[in-house]
Amino acid sequence: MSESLSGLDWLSSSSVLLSVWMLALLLALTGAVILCFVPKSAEKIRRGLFFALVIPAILVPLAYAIRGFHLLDRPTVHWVFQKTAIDGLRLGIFFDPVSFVLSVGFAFTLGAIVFRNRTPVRLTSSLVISWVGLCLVASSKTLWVAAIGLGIQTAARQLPILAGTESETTTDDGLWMATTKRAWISLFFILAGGAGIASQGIHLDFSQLNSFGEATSSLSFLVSAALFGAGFICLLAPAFSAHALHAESQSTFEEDQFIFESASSWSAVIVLYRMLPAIAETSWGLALSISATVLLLFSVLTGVFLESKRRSIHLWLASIPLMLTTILPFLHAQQAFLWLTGSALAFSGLFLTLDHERKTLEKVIATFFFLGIFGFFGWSTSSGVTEFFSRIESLPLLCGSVFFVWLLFAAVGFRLVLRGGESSARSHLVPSWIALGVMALLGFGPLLSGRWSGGGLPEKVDFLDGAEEWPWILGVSTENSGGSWLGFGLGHGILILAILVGTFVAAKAGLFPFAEKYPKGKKAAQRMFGFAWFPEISATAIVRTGSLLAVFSDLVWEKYIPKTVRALFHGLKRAGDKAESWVDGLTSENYGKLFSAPSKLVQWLHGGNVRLYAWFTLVWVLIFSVYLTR
Amino acid sequence: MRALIPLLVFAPAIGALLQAVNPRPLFARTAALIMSVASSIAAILLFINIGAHLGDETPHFVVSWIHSYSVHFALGVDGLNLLPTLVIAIIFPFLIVSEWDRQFGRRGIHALLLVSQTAILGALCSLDLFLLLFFFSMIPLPLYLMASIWGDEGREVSAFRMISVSLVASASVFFGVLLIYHAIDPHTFLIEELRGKLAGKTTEIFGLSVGLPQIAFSLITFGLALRAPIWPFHGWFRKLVLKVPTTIGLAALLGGFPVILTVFTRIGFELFPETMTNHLDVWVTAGIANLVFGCLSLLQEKDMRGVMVSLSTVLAGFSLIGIGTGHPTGLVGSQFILFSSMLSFAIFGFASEILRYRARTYEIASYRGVLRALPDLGSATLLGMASAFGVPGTAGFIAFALLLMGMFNYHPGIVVTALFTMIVVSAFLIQIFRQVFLGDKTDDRYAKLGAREKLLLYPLVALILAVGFFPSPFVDIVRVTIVKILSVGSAGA
Repeated sequence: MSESLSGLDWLSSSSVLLSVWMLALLLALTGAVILCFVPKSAEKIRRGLFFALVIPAILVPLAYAIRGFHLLDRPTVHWVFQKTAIDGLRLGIFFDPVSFVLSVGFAFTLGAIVFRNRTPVRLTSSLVISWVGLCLVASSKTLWVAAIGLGIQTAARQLPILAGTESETTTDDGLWMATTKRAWISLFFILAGGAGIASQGIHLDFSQLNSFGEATSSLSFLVSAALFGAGFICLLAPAFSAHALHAESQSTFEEDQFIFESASSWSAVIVLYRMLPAIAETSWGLALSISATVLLLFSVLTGVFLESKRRSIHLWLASIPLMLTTILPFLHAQQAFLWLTGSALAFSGLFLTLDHERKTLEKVIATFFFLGIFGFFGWSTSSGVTEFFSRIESLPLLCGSVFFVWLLFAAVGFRLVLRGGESSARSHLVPSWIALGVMALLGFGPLLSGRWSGGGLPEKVDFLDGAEEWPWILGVSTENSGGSWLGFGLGHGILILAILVGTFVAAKAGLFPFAEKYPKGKKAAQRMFGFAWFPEISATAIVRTGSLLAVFSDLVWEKYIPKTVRALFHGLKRAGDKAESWVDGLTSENYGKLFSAPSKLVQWLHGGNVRLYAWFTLVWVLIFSVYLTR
Repeated sequence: MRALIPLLVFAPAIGALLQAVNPRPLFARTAALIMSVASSIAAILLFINIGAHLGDETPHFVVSWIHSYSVHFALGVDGLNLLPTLVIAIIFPFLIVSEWDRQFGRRGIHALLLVSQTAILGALCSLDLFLLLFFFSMIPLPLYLMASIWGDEGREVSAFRMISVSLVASASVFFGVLLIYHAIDPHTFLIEELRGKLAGKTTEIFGLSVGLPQIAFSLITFGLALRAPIWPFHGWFRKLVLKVPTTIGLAALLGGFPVILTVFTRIGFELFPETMTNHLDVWVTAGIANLVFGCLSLLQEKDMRGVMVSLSTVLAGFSLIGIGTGHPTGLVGSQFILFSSMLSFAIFGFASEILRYRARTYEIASYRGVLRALPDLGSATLLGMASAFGVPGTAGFIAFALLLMGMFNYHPGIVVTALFTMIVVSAFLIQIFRQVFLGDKTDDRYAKLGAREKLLLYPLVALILAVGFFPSPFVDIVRVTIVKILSVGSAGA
């Protein structure tokens, strides 16, 4: 892609638009950072602050849409080391339909949330920073740009804590701690893995990736890729920090949700999507899928022991990107694109509607988006689900496992849809409706095109025809493997079963009866992942080891070395004393034994003045004799 | 451009002299700040100039000093020492500002800090082994005086321990340098003239013929390891830093492993390339030992200054591993770790001092809920911590990315070890952040930051972010020199 542009070609309007996109993101970021320091200056426009900050950036995706969804691209540039260096790190950006859907979708959602909740200025700034990070990831052409985006999101986590400083007390520190640790640790893994892959001469330029299956199988590469994948899995799985969700919180759910969890989880999925050419149909993809399935199961198990509705919704929503990953490596480009974007849009819709007191209309809207996430017929996610479950004959174990875990996850989700959250904020404000409309429009896009295309009815291979009317899909159209009716049936079977289970199992109980019924289970769920982040036992063990080492070090430096030096000096001193006492015998007591005879002679010579004068005279005589005889 | 080098090194010393000439407080500290800043400006101008003429000859300043013994006053700046030089020259004015309002002995501490700056920059820029020894031996003297005068109870013992170890270190280095000097005919201390001439040389000690590279390099390495300090020789450093204000601790830290490891890299790869590359395993093992020990000792720290010490052991370990990779990328990463860690230490040190000024203690357990009173301090500290462990968008990210790439070229097992250390240490740092900054507001001791305190933090934070996003000018300079040194070294070997 980058080779197609050379010389001054990048100055074409598409590239200029891309530059404007970067500038607009920078502007939003700068504005948000400034407002963190002077929040009072924006108090009067609290409600519209998010839109005010991101509007310049939103104009670019709109211009991109008006121009016909043609890819915006710029050549990669070297960032660290020369471009020609084998292990040089490169920066590159482009703007494609994924960037479009994610930037626009989340902007509308967050804008509506800020408008509805009148969030404090610092929290809005934090949301803007997180959104900028997400946009950067969504338009990244190399891993290193995505890493910067993830870094920006990590920085955004600081601000809710700052906003909390306006009150005297806080209950959110635990959440901050847990999620920040998870983010940092994930980033370390990604950094280590990415650096390792780059050191093999693979530039992690998303537009030029080859399959990892064909890559070298050296130990370095294996370790790098394993670390890389582990980093993304860690970033994707909020269950790793789920123990923090058991703590009470005073903060607003929506901000927590996006800033602490979703933005980075979605970013991780975007990077994995970009890396599909490298991992699809390889053992790496399979490993990723299995890991995601196992962690999703743990997320479900952790989630059902949470007693707070809000926290359950938090964990469930934040686990959706993990759910995406369970099948992502097995989808073709077209389905993967629709799967990712469709889920993101459905997620946004749920994000806006799920945490509310239940009214029939809200239940219906939430159900609508809930169905969309799991690939209900008509929504753009459907083709991906159908395609994946069509593989049941070739991948029976994986498909079966995913089916089972999805069933549990969807059942939990549907129960949350039915029971709802705790927020009493009005959800039926105009911006909310606009945001929901945008989600629906984009999510049902392929359906509205007059074809079922992305809607996912099997054996319909007229996908590209439909896409002609929706060029943003064309951007990724490469192939369509279709799917079988079996896959379609299994995908939708999950939904039917999940709805039944979610509705009727323990229907009269609270949200989830498990915590009350099985307190030991709750404790186990709390600790299930807490172990990874050094709870009391491991922390104490490590601290004790450190103390022991310090004691050992102190013993060496404070006791043994000084003792040895003292012993050495003492030995030397004793040797000196001995030597001195031996020499004393020779030299002391009237000049000692050795010098007694000469000393007597000297004493004799000094015996009286006459002899002394005689000596002087003799000396002078000698001197004059020498002088006279010259 | 050459003239900037003596200005870089000696402007602070002139500032110290001016203090002696005119002791009036306002003049004295203003002069101190101006001369320290002059040194910073010289460093920045050198950086810009070298960056603009990448690949050209780097500026050297060489004049004969003691002619009859062929001792030269040779100073130079290249990609190897430019980053530590730059960051040290930048941080020292902040140290002066940090001690601006000291209650007693203000003038003395400024003068001693200036002397420290000259000694550290001189050691970094020396291209003559005798001159290097001169500055290397000079570094502990102002530290000794500062620690003895402004330290806490028990400072004399700590200061004495520091000066004793430093004397042993200097003696060891001196012995090694003398062996080199006498082995070459005509005798010289100039690194440039010694390059490529030491391989295969032998020397006689007590009638025994031993290989010069082995014996001289071992002596120099031992001396440097004592002074850095590298585990297990770190005891004196810990005792010193725990007894002095963090400003002095920072000066000790800046004159420690960043300078020593830079000097070690130069001497090792320029004078003893064969010995150096034959013992890469040793440096990597020493690096891992530092990582593990530093990490474990960090976990039991109860004092902010102790955290700095243990963290320095960990980061020195990372840098040592980078050197041990013997790979250009790893070596650039090693240099960048020194650069980014010094910025992080400066922020962490200033934050500790700001907290101590309010709470009258460095004890971690006595802080709580500081963020509620000082959100800007908390943010800056967190960013410094994030940079120390390579969060993207900060200078540390570049350092760790390069270092890890170098490590992969050596052995992926090292990466896994390093990674787990990073995880444990970062988890602990976040824990410290929680203890100190988060939680409910407990008291009113934490007055808002003054302009001077903000001045200590904001520029350093900006620098960390700027380097994180635009690292190329910094990295390219280092890489050019490293590649050159490695190629010349391997040719010589």
